[in-house]
Amino acid sequence: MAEITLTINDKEVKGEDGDTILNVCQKNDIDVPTLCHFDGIPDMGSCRICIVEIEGSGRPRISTSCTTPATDGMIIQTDTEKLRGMRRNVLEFLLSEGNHHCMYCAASGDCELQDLAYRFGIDYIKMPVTPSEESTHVDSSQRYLVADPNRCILCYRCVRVCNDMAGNQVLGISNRGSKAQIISDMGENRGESGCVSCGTCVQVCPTGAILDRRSAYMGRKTEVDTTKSTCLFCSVGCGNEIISRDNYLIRIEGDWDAEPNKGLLCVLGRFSPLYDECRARANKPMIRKDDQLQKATWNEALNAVAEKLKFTDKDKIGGLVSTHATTETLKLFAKYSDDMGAKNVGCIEGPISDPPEKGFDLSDLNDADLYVVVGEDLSEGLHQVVGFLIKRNLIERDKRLVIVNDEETGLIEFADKHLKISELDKAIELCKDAENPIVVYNDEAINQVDKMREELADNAKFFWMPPGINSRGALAAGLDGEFDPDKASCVYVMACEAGDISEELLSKLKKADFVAVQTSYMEPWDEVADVILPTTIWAEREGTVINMEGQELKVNKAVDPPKEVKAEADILNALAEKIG
Amino acid sequence: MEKVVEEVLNRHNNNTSILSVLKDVQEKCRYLPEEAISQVAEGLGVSINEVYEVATFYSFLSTGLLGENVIRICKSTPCFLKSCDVIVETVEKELGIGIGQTTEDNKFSLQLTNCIGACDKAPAMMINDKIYGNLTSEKVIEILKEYK
Repeated sequence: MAEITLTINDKEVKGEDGDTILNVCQKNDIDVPTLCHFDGIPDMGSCRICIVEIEGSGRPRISTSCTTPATDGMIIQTDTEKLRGMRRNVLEFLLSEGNHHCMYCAASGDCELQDLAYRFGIDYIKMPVTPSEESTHVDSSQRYLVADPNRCILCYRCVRVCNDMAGNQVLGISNRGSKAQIISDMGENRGESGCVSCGTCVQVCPTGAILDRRSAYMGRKTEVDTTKSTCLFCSVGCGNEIISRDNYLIRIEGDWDAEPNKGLLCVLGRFSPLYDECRARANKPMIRKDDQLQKATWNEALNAVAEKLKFTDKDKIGGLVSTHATTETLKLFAKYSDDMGAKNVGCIEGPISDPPEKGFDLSDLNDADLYVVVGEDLSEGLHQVVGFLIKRNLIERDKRLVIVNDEETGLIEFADKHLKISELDKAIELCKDAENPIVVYNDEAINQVDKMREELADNAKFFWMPPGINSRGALAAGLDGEFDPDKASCVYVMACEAGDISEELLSKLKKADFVAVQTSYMEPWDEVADVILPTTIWAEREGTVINMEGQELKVNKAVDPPKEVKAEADILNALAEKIG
Repeated sequence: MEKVVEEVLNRHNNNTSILSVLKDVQEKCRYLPEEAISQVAEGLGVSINEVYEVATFYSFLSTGLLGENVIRICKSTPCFLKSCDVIVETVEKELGIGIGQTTEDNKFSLQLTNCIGACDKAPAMMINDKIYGNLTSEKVIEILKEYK
């Protein structure tokens, strides 16, 4: 790219062809106040705070720096008395138009509008404060967030992330002028709209117009602790920020700097862990006595397990692990079960197929022109973020999406074609015609994809959606086998948070002589366990996981576990010591 | 309805101008129902919101069913300075409806509009496609009689 030279505030600075004036200023540490601008989403110049003066033949031209391309030789002023006055006016208009009474707002202290008002010394507003009569409806129909249009400054950030970043196409603007308002779908309440609760809009809202219900009033950015970690709820491995205060979990946010999600999260990673997890925590070791689980000390519980494991025939010992665990813990589990000679070991999600692709790069999705999704529903459940990454690319007209699934999935409304599994040949033909096709599949579709792989050879990329969270970690630990409950009389389960267990497996476990469960939550294990060993949850874990791409990602501890809860690895080590 | 929209889309063959498509649909259907908006979005390959945004932005497009005769009173600066509020009041009183409403017999809808380019004869209004200027209360009453 060609280098260009500009004069900003009487200083010569360099930029690149294609930069906006704001880009050049930011690269050269020249401070220009912004409000609607947000790194990573396209600018639209809706707030007019970032205006600058561009010198030309006549009077200096006033223009928004975020949308004006920088050109060679431009002479620009970013901080004149005139500009400051205009910015103050813009702020006054914004403040007068809605309900910006900071002392009642949860965003106070974390509000970009408030920051600017302080910065420009707005201690009173000359014009009458006239909240628009038509926009008084506070929308609280959504489970996880509240949208208050009275606090909205129409910066369009939420609209832009919803459409351009998450590709969900739910948010938009209706009407114009003072009646303009953010809407979901065609003016429906959010709770009834097509909103998938990815929550990206909450994270970008500069004011208190969209608030996370749970964390409102629970602490400002300066009062909370932020821990960068990795989401442990599916194998995408999104980078997240865990917000806590006094060892209490407040909120989860996406990490803008993290690959592959770049700030995006889905409902499972952002909201569900704190809103929807209502199982009782396992916070004390327990032993079953007289058919009742009763509190015990760690020593008693570990002894009981060690004794059973020691004196059971090794062919009768079974091991069941959850891929919520870190790779280190999974490897430790594999090592100890090897040491004991236990062979009947597997993951709760079932045996893992080891795909030929050892890894891939989710950012390749941006370069593809055809997406074929086989067997996987990317609109709900796991891997929703992959769905977002695909959907946002479909805005470009020459990119197509083909769903190969016998069932209806939520992605169909975005798809160009919906094929039955029996019509796989058609999908293969489409891939042959495409320049850069990507096939996204899960374990259910493994046979179909094998066929595609054969026919397409190197002409397509194949993205495997693992069934569990740290499935690649389990593969690395050699835990890809199948656990057969019928052959095990003494079962050791490392369950972590896993709770979605089939009735069949549970009833079979019930029949086993002895079941020890290392778990974070009582349900559903309290039905089958003879010993419960309480262990950490996602926010208390430390280690690494391997995501679907094959990347090793760091999981960091955000809060301390309850007093009697131990980390997975510590329990395994203590047990190994007792067995000897 | 579905057929009408399809016909319009075919006529605009591959033209992605949302506004001109919506204008034609409105002409045929008298308003833009949600189904029509969804259909247009699908036909043009854009998101539903994008179409809805255009449909609600312009005062000459309507997402609600309108009466047989649509009265649009200009609210832009020259008309405002020439007391268009008196004209609005008169029409409201004559028809017994407020701004944005339609009479019970579905004969009239009353709306405010941005500039209709008749500033030289402010205050002005439009009934359907016809412009009436230099309005006074008496004149408005006379004009409305023609349509009743």
